[in-house]
Amino acid sequence: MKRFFSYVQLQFRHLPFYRFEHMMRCLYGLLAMFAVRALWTSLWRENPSLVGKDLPEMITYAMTAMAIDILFYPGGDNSVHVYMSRRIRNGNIEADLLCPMDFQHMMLLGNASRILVLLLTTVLPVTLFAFLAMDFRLPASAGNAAFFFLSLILAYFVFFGTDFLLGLLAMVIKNTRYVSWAYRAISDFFSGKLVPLWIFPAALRTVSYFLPFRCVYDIPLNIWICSFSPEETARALLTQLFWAVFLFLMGRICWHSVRKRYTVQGG
Amino acid sequence: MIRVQEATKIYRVPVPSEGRFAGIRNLFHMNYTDRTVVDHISFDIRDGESVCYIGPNGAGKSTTVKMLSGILMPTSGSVSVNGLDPCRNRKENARNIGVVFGQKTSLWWDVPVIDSYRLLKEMYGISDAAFRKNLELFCDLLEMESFLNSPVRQLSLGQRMRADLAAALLHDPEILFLDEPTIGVDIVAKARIREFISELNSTRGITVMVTTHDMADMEKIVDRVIVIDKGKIYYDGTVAAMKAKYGKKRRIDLTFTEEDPEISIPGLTEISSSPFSRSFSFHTDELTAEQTIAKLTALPLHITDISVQQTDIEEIVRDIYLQSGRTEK
Repeated sequence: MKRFFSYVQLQFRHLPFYRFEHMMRCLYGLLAMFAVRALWTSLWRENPSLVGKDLPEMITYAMTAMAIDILFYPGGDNSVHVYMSRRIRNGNIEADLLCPMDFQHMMLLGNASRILVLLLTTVLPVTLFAFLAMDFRLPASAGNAAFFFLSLILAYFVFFGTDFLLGLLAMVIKNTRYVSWAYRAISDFFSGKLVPLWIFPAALRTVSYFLPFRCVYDIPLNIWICSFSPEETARALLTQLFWAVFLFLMGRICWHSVRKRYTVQGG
Repeated sequence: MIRVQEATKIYRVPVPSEGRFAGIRNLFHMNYTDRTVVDHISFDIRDGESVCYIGPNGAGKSTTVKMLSGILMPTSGSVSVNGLDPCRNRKENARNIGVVFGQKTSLWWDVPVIDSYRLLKEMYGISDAAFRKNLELFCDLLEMESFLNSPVRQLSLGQRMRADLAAALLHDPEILFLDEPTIGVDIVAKARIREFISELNSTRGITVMVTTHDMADMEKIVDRVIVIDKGKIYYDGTVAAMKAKYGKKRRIDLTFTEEDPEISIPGLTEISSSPFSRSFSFHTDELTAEQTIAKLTALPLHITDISVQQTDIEEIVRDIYLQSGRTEK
């Protein structure tokens, strides 16, 4: 835990050097929330039965999805596969391999500390603004809020699990840029980030239930807008836990196999 | 104790085909070839020893250091550092060693140097007292006080190298691997780094292995030198023994009053000439310096200046590199 707080401290020290970037990220979050609010409002006005929820519920779902996207966007600086891929290409991954820590554990600490700092410095202010100015609804009860945060933590581990596997792929194929694009497209589609899964045709919805991506958006978002019954919430949290553990173990197995294949880039 | 036994590292490298539509064909099928970067090398380094590992670009120096530091796994053979396999025991090995790669930094780019050190303190589990003591010592010896609170990206290369050196030593490692620690560094910073490494080796008994292209590093830091080229070791011994074995070439520079005189003495090879001066080289197995001077002064020349120079270390190493294609250790 002490190590984690040292990482968090380092991330906070990092912030003032990129103040403009930080402000732009907040602005992006607000614009994205505003855009999805406008989009779903007009869609709902056109055909409320298509959306299948009342308007405040729907826009809260879509705006929370944008807030989570700031944290779990699988292509930005908060993504461990982007970090690993960049360092593998320029050879700086060696510095990470020289640390006396388990590699997966170290990547997790570094990445989780960054996500925590993003949550505190970007997502919370943006969400507060959305609550005050954009009809953003809070969970119905403290219990729901607690389940949401638990679900968000599990969502992070699922996000990290898939992202770390993609990072390991970079050790083999060196450049994951286009794999990353494909991953992002699939993840965005099947996670419920852009379109809620309840709107999907039954076949696609079934496919999404066999993939880990819904654990990152669909489950926490449904908990936030209270559309799950207590049984559904428990089942959803267990699903997230299963994927988090499964992906973490897959990451460990793949790390040990990929490690032998690693070749150094540059002298 | 470092032990390398018959270590070999082979990289599989792509060989793109050439010719018509090669770019498209390469998309579907790529040929590969094996490149042996380190080829059955063996050596031991005792505790407290300081060793220079030299060789031209692509000789296999950095790959050896990366195998010893646990970053790369040898394709065959074995390496051990203090009895541990560095790759299989990467975390334990990392606690015993300090590594500096001259062309890369292990510090966090955007934050002040001291913040990187604080994170390293937690990573290595360094006690507060040991951290304070080492930090004070390194700040003093490496004169780091002025840039300890500056972000790494704002440091000069010499400052960054000193900061990296201190970072590699904060956890009191028993072994220090330095991969080209003085590359691109100015003359003052180089001297400071060399003094610091020598002092650590002599006072703390840290085992030091330095890879370098800079011959002065070799002369000023270490007792022993290992020359590697094309993945094989061509020399392993003391610097003095290397000079005695390979430093038999001499250079003689002459200045005279005549223009373009005729000089032909068996055993003398002309290196350079100008109208009133000439430089030759000779091998002491064929001619001694005394004999050479005697033969030259016996010629009908008006020599105004004469000087004989020993082969410098750079030339010795160059000769070993040149011979490396023909002879092995």
